[in-house]
Amino acid sequence: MPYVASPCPFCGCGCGLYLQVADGLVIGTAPSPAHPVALGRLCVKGWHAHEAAANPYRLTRPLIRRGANLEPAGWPEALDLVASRLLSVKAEHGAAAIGVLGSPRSTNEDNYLLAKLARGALGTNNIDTAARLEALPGLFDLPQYRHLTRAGAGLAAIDEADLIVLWQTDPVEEHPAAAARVLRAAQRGVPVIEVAWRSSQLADRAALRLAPRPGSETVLAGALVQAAFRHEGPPSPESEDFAAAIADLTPERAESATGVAADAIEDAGRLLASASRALILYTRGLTLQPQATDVLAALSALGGGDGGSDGSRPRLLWLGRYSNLQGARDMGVVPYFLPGFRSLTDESSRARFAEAWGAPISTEGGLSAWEMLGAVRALVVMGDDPLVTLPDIASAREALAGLSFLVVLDSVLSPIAEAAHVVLPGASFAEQDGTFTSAEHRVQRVRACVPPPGDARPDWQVICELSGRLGRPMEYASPAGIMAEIASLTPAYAGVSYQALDDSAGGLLVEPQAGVEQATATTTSEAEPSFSLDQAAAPETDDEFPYLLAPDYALRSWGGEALAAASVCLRRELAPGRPLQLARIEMSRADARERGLRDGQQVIIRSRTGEMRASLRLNDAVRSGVLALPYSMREDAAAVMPPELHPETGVPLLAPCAVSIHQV
Amino acid sequence: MGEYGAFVITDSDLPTWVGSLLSRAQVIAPRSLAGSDVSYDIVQAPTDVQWDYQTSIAPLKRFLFPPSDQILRWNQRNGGPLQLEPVYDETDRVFLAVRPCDVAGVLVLDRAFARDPEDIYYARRRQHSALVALACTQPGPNCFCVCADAGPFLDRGYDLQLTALTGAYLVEVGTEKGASLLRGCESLFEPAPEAALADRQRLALETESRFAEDKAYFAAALRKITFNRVPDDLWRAMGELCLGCGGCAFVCPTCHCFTTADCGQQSEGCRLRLWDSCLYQAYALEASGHNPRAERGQRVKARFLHKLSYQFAQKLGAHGCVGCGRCVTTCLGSNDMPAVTARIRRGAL
Repeated sequence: MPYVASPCPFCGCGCGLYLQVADGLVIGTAPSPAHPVALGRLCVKGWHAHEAAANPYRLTRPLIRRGANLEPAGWPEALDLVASRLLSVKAEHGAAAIGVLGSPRSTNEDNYLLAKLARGALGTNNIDTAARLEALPGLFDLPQYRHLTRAGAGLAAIDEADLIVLWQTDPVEEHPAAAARVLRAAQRGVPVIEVAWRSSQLADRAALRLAPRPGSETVLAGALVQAAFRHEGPPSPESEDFAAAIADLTPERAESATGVAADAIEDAGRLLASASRALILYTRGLTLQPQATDVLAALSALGGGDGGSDGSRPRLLWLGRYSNLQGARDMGVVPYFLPGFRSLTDESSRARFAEAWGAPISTEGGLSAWEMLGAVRALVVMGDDPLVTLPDIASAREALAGLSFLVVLDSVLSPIAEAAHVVLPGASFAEQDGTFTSAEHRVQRVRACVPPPGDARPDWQVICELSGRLGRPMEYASPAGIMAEIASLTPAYAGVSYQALDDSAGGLLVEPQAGVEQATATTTSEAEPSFSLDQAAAPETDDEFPYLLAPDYALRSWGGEALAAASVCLRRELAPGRPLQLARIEMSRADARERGLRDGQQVIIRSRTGEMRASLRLNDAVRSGVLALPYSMREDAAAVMPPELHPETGVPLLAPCAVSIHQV
Repeated sequence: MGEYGAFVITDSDLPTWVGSLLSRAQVIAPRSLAGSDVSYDIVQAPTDVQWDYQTSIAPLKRFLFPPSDQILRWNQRNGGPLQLEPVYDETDRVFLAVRPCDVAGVLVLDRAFARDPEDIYYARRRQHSALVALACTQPGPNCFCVCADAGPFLDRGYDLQLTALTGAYLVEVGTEKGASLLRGCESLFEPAPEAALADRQRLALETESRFAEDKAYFAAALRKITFNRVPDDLWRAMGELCLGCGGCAFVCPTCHCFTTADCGQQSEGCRLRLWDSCLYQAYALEASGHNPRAERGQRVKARFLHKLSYQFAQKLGAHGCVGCGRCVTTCLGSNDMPAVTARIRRGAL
């Protein structure tokens, strides 16, 4: 059939589209009006998804490193080499010396098999995806924070909301399918509150724009809860500590800490109090900041995951950046959980999987993607881009260079693949059967509509081949059989089969936590996250360092991704410009004028820790007093804004810092 | 009404004729996809054709001007000469039961791609295709072909035009190519009786009355755009309503912008022609780094200048809109054709 239904391979929204196939090539996409998420619309990425599938940069043969070069090789040689190197690392240093990275853009079936390979065949719980840390820094998958990310609202909640809060997110750049819904809501008269120090294209439609100083978002979140509570909005916070922490947070105090006018905080509190179906939308702009848990704790006090059945509290909607990050986590590509979020510490869960997989499950806790770097000696990577997604790229690169063995299975030569000892060519989303699970937990069918190019193979077949060479044969006739096994072991996916998906309109919604409560003993009450204002202030500026440099997580953020970079039009449209090979720094016209700076000019940025050269771009969407750094260029700014280790997770994150700006 | 005559074919004979078309050519016709979606698609059997439908999710141009099209291949082996091979698609195609608005769209593309120098990749495909329209008697909620002189019935441009009557289809033959599609099946077609022709006229009038009110009155917008009387502030405001997906250009039956990219290596590679959109920020970007349409509002203005100004209509022989209504569904923002013409008429959002 020339038109094949598929979910879009890019972000976590899960828009449905059609792939147009001709002569064994995917030559186009078309939107699906009947699809519940897409509603007949696509963003620029969806419109060019075919270019990502059928691109000239595809890997077509296995590659083996010989000296400085990666040279073509046959499958048997490449797979034998991978198996023997992994077995020798295991024999010499133990299974914990091996790490495995799964993929936020591979299918559930591939991720499940990879988790089985890691925990079963290799015997290590070191399995993660670097993208998980980017989207929800490790801690949110720790038991004490799980309720913060429990199934929230879906995209349709935007259409139903009577108040929409965009919390440090730019949906136009990050999730256009959500932006389209927010725009329509605003046009219907639904008030929108935008909280961001760089306004989005939707700002003109916003009823209120709150632009806090970077780093002071926690104070603002606390002040909003306080204001909403004062206007008799949501029920008062249950936690006494939390109530005490915000008790003195008057709008006036918040104004001096955040730079947001007290009146605006009052107005926002009033809007939150009077709304009956408020929705708070957030993305990695919130989750990647060092105080993410405090902000989320405050927003949860306003709302809570599902907002309560009576609609008395706002609902939270988290949108992830990748098509199948949710699915990868569901499949156990998280160090702390077996598939279906079953705890590793739970003996019956371990026994269940040990029996199903025919291999004992180690009790040794797994390392996160970040912890693996520097700790493991061999790394197996499937479709993950740690050098794109991890906050501290330089350290990651250094750690990768120290590995004694790195194997990468991917459809394109991603930055990490360039550093590998063996590269295995996998299939794209249009070349194998499987499923994706979107951010709103919509499971959808991915379909093989063209064969993989050259010698490339579907990822699941490669994993099966490798597992057999590791002494644990895996036998599946097709990905449908893998899904049947997933369904039998994972309550959330119990009703999922290819037949059921084919019969559905736009896929099946699942509840990822299904059956987990009985299996894990963690209660949320004993793990109530603390809300603290201790670290909540924006960095101090002074005469020497009068500006705040802050990472902008949304600005042209798709350009560096492997899938986008493989598409001719997306590379042109989405890659952030690097004039003069320098990182781009954006500041408002008014601030620039004050300093006598012009658009396109070369500048030096200095902080207390170092300096960098950059090219200046004027952008009136940036708050006065702030210099915005596109997150994809963070490595250029490492001397000025060095990544700091998060005290709880040890994951490096970027925090805004005080800087000065000078003409070259 | 059918320069080469008019015939009728009964509903029960229709599959036989479609079978004959399938044996001669690739047949592209409305087909049911997921849920309520219907699209022009390659059909394998007469039963695949969805005769009863409102509109296709995508226009015909995908088959004449594909979103991604290899137009040239090259290779150079062992230091030998560079071999260049243009790639033409000369598959015989019958576009069956396609809506008049989409036929009208192809006529605009014909003019656009025929401009000197002729676009040979399009021309070859077009020479090998026949257009069999199905007159429209069920306009959808977003349809406004009546405002664009592109439907619901065609008076020119088709090879054949079918009209669903009771128990039979009227077949108007517009060209010699259309007449050739009936050959070998002559026994299935009876000369159209007067009553059938009268029914067609009645259905055309009835259908026109079924369009929703206030769809897209172009007249004021055409004049204001032609004489540059749309305030820049309005373009700027509409720019803020464009989310830059490019979808309006891709679902439009008349849009034909493309870019090219050379892929592969010197030893072997291909040149791709890829759909492009004037709403993309890098569409007009120059090598120097200068962008003459750096602002979204400027890009929206350029788009509608090309769609609606008299200067461009003169070049293409028609305005760049056939009233299919797809941009209403697909626009990620809210700059669909009816909305934009209404704002221009009002002079405000």
